[in-house]
Amino acid sequence: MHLGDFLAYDFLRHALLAGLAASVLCGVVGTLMVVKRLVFFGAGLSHAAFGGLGLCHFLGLDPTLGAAAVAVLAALALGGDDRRRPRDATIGILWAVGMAAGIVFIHFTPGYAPDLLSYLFGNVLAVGGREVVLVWVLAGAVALALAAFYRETVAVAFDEEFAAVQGVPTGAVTTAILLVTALSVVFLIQLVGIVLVIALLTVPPVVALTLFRDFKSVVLAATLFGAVMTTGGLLLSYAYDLPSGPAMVLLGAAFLPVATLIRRWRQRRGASTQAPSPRAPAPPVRPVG
Amino acid sequence: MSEPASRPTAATHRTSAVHSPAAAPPLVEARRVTFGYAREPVLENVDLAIRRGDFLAILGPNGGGKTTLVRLLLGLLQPWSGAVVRRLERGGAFGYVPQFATFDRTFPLRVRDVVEMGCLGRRRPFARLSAAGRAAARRALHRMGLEAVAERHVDDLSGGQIQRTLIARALAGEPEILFLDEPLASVDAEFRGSLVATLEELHREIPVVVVTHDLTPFATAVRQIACVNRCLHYHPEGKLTADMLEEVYGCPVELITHGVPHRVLATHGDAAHDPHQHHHHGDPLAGGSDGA
Repeated sequence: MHLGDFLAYDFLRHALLAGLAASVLCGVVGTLMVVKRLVFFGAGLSHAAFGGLGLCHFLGLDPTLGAAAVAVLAALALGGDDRRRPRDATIGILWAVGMAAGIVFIHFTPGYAPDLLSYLFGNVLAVGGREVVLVWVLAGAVALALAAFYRETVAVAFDEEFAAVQGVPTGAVTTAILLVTALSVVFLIQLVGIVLVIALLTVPPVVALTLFRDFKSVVLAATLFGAVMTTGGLLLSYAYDLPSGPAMVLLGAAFLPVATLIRRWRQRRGASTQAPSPRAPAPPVRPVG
Repeated sequence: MSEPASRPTAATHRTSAVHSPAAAPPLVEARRVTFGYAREPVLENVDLAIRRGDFLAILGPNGGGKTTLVRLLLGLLQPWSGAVVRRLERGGAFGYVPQFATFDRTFPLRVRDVVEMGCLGRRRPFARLSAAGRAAARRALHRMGLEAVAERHVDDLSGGQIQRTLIARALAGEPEILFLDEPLASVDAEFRGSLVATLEELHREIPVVVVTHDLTPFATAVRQIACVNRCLHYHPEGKLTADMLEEVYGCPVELITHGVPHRVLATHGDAAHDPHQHHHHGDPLAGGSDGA
């Protein structure tokens, strides 16, 4: 394999650049999703978005537009959920209905039927210059927003009620997190597809959370792992003729046991150097009242 | 939301002003507040005033609306009718120590990060924590005896240390009034005494409001008691009597050294009720979601 050849292809350059933007989304949005327990929410949005994607395909419009519209609407609807039914049930319904609608629309689209597999599992060939620009705009906006409102965002993610007592507009922050989650999911579908997008947003933050214990380090480490995952995945797919999305996901997943081993090793070393255990006997946390 | 009720409070209503001779207007006041989550009200026509120098215990059965009342006073909930009036001098700084169970131990934060969350206040975008905020957080850590564990992850703390961290977070905002929701739950017996002593010390500076189902540990500290079970009964003397418990639990009870739990000596009017179920006398459905 020769890196010069690799970069000579336009579509691979685009995929590489999109992958690097994706890693910023892994770090910022992925970490927020994991700590705010929004992973299933994100997975639901990506599948629901397929409905919009199929509709736009049927109408001859830009499929990304439809996917984005549906994901944003679904995110807002779920965000304002009035708890008359459990939220995960609503997510499950949106998930399945979106997929069903998408497949029906594509079924009825006359002429050339697109490769369903590329929607489900991604296709780097589909990433054009316009998509690269869009993903970078989103990544830049998300990074800037976190830098501007870092303390508010972390406070809302950790303890919404306490943040509200301090006058933080928690509703606006939460809505922003949901919207950014929806948009990230839609833009990353292009890279790894509807089914695998959730791995891109969860594996890097979980690896980072295993190794680091303050929020800033977790965000930075998740971004770095995201970059390794997307770039490494592309290189692997180029070198061994693998599908690129699955290559990224499997490479990222391989980091998880490594991170766990590093953590255990650190804990053992920490326990042997500090004579009394640093961990005071803590009573189990039980819900009260 | 802080507007007084448009209609004047009728003189016949049980207002704490009747009991409290203090001339200064209360810092926080609930006026004829009614609130519920669903159809049924959890609180009805509640009047309560908290003044400088108060050490108030909010007592009552599960589902009686204790936590709901605190949320209303903090402005986290808006009353169906009535009003909550706040007269805080320094921009409305409330210190709030929520129930322990809401704490997410897996969250990637060190003790210092949690405490510094207490001084969010108003700030410009991109601005770092101000020197004053950092100093306030440092003082709060010192006061709660957390300096040695300040750089540790919250998951490495004991229950008592977590409770201290949450109090330090509330103090970092330099509050004018401190609310604590069941501060002794999930805390070992050894730590209880020192926590109550800490609260008594804080009470010399700011009013302290404690939501609790067990008054005993606070017996020496408490000055006022509010019994909440849908309605509110205010007792400015800070002493618990059997009559008061009967009033709030709706049945004659035996007063042990613990205010609650208590033994039921007679069933109350509503014969359909199993006397042993009297703890749910309020509205278990309406108040159940938040453990109030």
